[in-house]
Amino acid sequence: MTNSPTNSVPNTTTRVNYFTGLARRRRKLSLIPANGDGSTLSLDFTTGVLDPRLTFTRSTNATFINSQGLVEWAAANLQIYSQDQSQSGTWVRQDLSGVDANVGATTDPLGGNTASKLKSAATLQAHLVYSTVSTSINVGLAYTFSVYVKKAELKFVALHLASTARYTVVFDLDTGAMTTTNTTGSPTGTAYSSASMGGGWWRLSITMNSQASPVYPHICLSNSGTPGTNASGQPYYTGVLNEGIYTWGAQLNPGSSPLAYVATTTAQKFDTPRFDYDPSTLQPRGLLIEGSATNLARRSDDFNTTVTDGTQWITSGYTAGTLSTTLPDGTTGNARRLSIASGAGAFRSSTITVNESTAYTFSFWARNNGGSQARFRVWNATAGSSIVDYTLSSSNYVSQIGGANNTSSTWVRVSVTFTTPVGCTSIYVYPCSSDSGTVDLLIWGAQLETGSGASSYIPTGASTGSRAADVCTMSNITALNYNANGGTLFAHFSNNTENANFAGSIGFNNGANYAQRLRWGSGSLIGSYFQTNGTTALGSNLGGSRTSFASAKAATSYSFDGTTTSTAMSINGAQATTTPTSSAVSGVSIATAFALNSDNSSAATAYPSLAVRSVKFYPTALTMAQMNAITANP
Amino acid sequence: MDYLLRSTTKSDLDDALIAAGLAEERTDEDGEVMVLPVAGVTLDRIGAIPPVIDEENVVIRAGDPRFHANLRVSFELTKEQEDELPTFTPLPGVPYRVFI
Repeated sequence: MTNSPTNSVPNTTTRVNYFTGLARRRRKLSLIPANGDGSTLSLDFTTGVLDPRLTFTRSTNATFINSQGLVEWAAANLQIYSQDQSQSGTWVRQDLSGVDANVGATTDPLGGNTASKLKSAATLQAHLVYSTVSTSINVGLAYTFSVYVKKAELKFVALHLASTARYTVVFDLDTGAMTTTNTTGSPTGTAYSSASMGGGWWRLSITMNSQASPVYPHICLSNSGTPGTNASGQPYYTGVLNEGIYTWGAQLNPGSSPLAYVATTTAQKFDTPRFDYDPSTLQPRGLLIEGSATNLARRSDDFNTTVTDGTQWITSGYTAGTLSTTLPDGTTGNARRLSIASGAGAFRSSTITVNESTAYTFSFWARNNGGSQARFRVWNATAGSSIVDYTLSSSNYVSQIGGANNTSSTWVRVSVTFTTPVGCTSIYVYPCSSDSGTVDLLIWGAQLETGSGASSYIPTGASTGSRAADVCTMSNITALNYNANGGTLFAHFSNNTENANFAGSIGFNNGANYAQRLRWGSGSLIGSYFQTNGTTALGSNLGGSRTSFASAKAATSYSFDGTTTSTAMSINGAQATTTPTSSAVSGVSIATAFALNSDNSSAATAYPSLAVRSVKFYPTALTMAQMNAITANP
Repeated sequence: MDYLLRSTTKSDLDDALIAAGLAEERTDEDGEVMVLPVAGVTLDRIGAIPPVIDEENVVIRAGDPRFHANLRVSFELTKEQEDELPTFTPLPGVPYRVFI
């Protein structure tokens, strides 16, 4: 249950009056106000379902840790007009007599009438529609094209992906079976799948690594399970006029499997909320709310590439092999294996341009394959000196990946935060570097980003990649009874990154200015902030610290007694280190909206990466004892 | 819709975005004035494009010291707005940075 405005029954026990036989209710003693817990907003983000009162947006793809502890892309669709292949401006036709929209002859997979029908022309040609997708394509990454297809007069269809290379798979629409495949050029990362969706519909997919941008998804009619083909590998035959197939729900998504279908019209859609899980305990961590971030490490999980365009990773000393295994994203593939019995070795990125005197975090997944050590390193390529030296004991992360000589460890994300020296403008990052001893190590998924702490993984190909900020808002808070006389905001969260400023992250605003919010500051600091009359700060900022990157609870309150407004804050069961304040101003601004990561005076890069478990609002100022009670046991 | 932008300086880029109505000046709580994108606009300021260098420190692809940015808008721009943007051609086959 995620939607739980808590005007609910109080916490009571029931006893029977022996004289009257009637039950009477007796309240339990509690520091929490009556009327349930007294809150008018209670958001539980650990259920994996977003409260329908919230609106969530993000303008790019993004990944998260799923309930199996695996890295997964959030559902997204890069293909516009996903349910309407009759949109000829998007779906270019070749040798079709037409494409019917909203056909009545069959229901779509949802039971409606939004399916399209592709109809063949009576020509000796390939009969198809294709689209052009050029945005959010990072050359080198895998993309999966999926379509819901149902037979009409024709019982075969081919899906075709074109980049520099091409990949074609023909499917039988009676059985869903692949009948033949075809490649031109040298496509890599190819795969296909089919799944029955009922009613004669199949969800078919093909996957291929992009070699260039754009990527061109095709839906091709076929008169045979093993058709003749043209030079592109597409079915090529003399069509029978108007014979065709039904189509619906086309999707192009990053990754090597079809993600949950996301309908599109005029624009790509990325704004699926991400509910994150602890990769070790598999316990829910809540809603990921992250600022924007960039992975400056190119070819982040393509350590085996044979390209020599300057973006490839470089090995010296080590035997750079591969091991087919389950990767951190759950796929089976060749992990980069680095090994050496003795002597020196190094495995590093290409040159990465950085800013001087700036904090960065380098992260990657690693798994021990029997080595006695595993050491990371960061090198100042400008000055030719170490920033993080591999000989330091703290650079040896073998204990994090199962210990020395372990051959059965699981994947672990390793990270190190460092600050570039004055004058440093380029660096190398090394998942492994050593000068003696045994190394036998698997690695995957490197990321270099600004700030302290690793945010969600941003896969990259030949280009560096940027993820946009998550924004989650509630535009109608009328039922919350937000008022000038008193209120308390509570949040239970953990953070993946720490930024150096106090960007707003969770709070109430009036559209132009904040009324009340919790905000994350430098290092382990968390503060609260209030405004009245628009822009006037209400008293001093309150704040205190908690253990970095650990689960934490914070609450902050305001109250107005007719003369002065008082504010207070509690963190993890204790009063914040700054003392409560009061000012001779008339209450906070009256908020009209609630938001996570929406701050009209901060850049999206300023927000930390948070996993928010729960949020509550009480339309009254709780006492410090009450706030300490609700923030205890983080 | 995505746009790859290039201008001489960051200030020039900000001016163009403001003129196009895609960014505006705002003052944060510390009084600092910033240029931030308006709703529906995602802006990734890149700056100079660094050169690509091989392991022998030979420059494979030259950098570009001008100021670059990636722009993503969730709505249709008018021709007047597009005309204000410092777009350029030819577009790179493999951009230095993309939105994922």
